[in-house]
Amino acid sequence: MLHPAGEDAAAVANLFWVMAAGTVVIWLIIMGITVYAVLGKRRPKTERFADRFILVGGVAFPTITLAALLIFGLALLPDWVRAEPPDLRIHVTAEQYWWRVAYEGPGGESIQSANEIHLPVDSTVEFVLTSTDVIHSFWIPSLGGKMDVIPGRINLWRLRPTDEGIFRGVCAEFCGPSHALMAFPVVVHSADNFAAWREGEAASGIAQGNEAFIATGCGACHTVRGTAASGQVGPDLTHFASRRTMGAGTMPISAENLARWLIDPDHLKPDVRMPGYETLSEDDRAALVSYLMALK
Amino acid sequence: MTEPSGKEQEIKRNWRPLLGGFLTATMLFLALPLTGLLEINARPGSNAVVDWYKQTAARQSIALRSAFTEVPPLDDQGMVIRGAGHYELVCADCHGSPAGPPEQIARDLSPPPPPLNRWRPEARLFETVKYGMRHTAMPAWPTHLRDDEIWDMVAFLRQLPSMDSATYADFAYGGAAPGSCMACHGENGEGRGNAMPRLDIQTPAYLAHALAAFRDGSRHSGTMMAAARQLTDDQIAGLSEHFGRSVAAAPDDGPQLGEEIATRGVLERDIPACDSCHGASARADFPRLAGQSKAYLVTQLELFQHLGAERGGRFAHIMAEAVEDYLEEGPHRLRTEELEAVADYYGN
Repeated sequence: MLHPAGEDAAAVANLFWVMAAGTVVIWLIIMGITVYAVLGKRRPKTERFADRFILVGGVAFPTITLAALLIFGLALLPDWVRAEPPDLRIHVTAEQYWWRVAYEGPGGESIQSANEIHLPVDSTVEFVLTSTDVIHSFWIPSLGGKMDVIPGRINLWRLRPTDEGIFRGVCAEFCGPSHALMAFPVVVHSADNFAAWREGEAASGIAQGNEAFIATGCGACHTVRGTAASGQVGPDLTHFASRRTMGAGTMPISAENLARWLIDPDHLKPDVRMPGYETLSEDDRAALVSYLMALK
Repeated sequence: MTEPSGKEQEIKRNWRPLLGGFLTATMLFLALPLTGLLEINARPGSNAVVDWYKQTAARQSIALRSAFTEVPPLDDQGMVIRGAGHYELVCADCHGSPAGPPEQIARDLSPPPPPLNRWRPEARLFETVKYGMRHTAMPAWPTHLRDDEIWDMVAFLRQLPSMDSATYADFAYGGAAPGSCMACHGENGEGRGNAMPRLDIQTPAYLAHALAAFRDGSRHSGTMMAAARQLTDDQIAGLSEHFGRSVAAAPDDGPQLGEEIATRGVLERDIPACDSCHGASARADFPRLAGQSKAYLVTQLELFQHLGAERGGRFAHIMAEAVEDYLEEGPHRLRTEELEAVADYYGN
């Protein structure tokens, strides 16, 4: 949060520093008065002085300070009046315990992805947030404040990243046993790199070598676009292996982690909906892993 | 502390012998088995008092416990056929059947297994078949999770008193050898109408897993656990090869809703398409559904919805994720009409 990479986060960081400095100044004044009251010479004060002191120090000063802070804080609220269309709109659906992500493509088409968000730098991005089960909260601390994600409602949230890099997004509202394992990497690209990435993401996945994937019924829940696998229950896997993490930020993608995941996902991510496939033979599992790792 | 009054002392004195007598009686009762005086021999009529005591207790116990049992409709002929097959395999040896008297060893039992040749209340039959009877040779149903099978048996038992031997033979084993696999599942596993699951559409790999699961008790079915219990690994392999013929049957023209769920699932409730795992391209050890008995599909779907992974079988936990829901109207549970439609689409 104190290394902001987005406009909102910068404003929040700014608010933090102003408040921290103000707090230090006020603390010093109060400690000074306290020390003076304890150690200073006892000189009788007039009643008039005492009245004024209480009025200024106890009423006027807090009122002015708090009003100033309120104005400063309110100024950070989203500017709902400004209704310019965003540069990019991303639909994010939170489910226990992962993120369904759909980008609006250049021609308005929808590009399905999951558990990783890619953004162009210096563009205003609008997130269209909803949930299918319980209340979650969408938060990318380095880019800006958080927004609750509520089933049956659509919440809008805008961010404007200012720095390129990889940041971490999280679910910030307790949503179940694996709440802490519901994260996602956020990759902020230059505009050109983002366009290239989105083009790649929109492409179909490969079908070659997917016999085990289809036969085991993975396509019941997962989609690999351009193949027979078209399930809508779990995360889209079209470009699975190009992501940085698996299990929604649970662990880095590797053949070894994937094999462990296939055997007993519930052990790695409690209450996950995916069933374990410990009954698969070694060969079948190896075929699944090599196919998935090829889905760049 | 004040001295007890004369009256209080009197009450105390009067209670003492009663309490002492009660404790002595209790100890004598508990010590009675230790004395060896109780008679346990099985000679018929050797102790008419004990027999009367036990039989009355049994009858009243069953009557009490079945007083509030709700009896489902029992007129479906499929239920009678399923009940008959299991009766011939397991029950007829002791209780006899229209096709023959009980075995001699059963007639020597004390108390003797009653012939089931008169009407009994359905709820009491259910209670007895499900829980068995202590101090007799009547066992409980092998699993407590399959009331549907017990009602099949009751549906058969209520028709048994009026059944002639030809009808019985037809129900219990068709043309096949009594008590054989073919008696219920048909010569080549083609089933018996809608009453029995078809085996011929399955692969040997699936049937072998299913038989092994019935044998070790991880998949619950009183009838199949009884049938698979004594099978060896070799026998399981042989039976699987014989019945698992991978006959390709097309889903018949079921309702639109069934086809929709089978091929696309219920998108808004996260129920995946059945065909993903049960279609033609599925693994050899996943069960095939096209051509299966509709009644069997309905029963199994209901079991998965209510029991989830506890229903048993090698991949039950996967089906549990697809359709199990603890809530009667929960999102992952198929509605009654959806379940019927899917079974109709695949089934015959």
